[in-house]
Amino acid sequence: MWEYLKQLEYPIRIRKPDARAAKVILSQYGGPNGELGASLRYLSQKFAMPDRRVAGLLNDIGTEELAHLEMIGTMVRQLTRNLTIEQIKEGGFDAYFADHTTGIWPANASGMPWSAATIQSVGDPLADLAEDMAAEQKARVTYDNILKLVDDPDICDPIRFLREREIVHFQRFGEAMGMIRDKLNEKNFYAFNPAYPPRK
Amino acid sequence: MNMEFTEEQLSNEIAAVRFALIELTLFLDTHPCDAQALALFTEYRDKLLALSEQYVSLFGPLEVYDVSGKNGWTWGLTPMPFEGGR
Repeated sequence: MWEYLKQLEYPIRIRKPDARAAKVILSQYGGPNGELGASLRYLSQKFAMPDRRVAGLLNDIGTEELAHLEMIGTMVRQLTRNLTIEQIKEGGFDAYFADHTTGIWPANASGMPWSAATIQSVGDPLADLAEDMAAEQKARVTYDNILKLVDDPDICDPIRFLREREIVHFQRFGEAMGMIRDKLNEKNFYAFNPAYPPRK
Repeated sequence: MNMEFTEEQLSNEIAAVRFALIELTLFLDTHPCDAQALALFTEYRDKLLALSEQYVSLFGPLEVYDVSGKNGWTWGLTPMPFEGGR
């Protein structure tokens, strides 16, 4: 279970409204490489992960991703809360505004709603961890692209923090993959799913 | 400890210490026998507890169990963390 902590993982204080930036950053809330998908991917995969150490890592990283989801929601909120109607129209935020006003809704930058089809949980440790490593790199690319589109330091600073976290998570998942491989070597059953059927 | 901290400064300080703990947790998940990392973990944990106690006494609860009951239902009165930057 989880309990709420009244603090962001990294402080966010954005002073200047920016509809255009909000639109692209929203993609990390509900887009294909975003934080909602990341948290649900890891927090779902953990159940079938046969190695307790790696299940714990999935739980810890999945938990951190929920904190990142809150950071992205905070950024979109602070970027949009004081927008005038003129700024909403000029910044291309009018289509989103029509359905959601300035509420936060999980969609990608072009308005496609979040979908579980953007994540996987196949109950095979090597397949799931390979997916996780790819997911961290894809999220890193999305943050790289956001940094190319935005120059306000109030926005770039927390985005750079989140980008760094993708790199650390990629490293930890790579190490977890090594832990699983070492175990597979012990019993020499490389070619089989070690999670099913369950082994005692 | 400097008692001149503003809410923002103390909150940032706690966030920094908590972040060190998040990072150490993930590192220890894949390096459970690293004695140096484990020592750092307990050092930062103690720092976090001390700073959190100071924050709670000055500015209100970080988690719901921090509500003392003496000043009413402070959980619902103090700002949410995503309100910053006004």
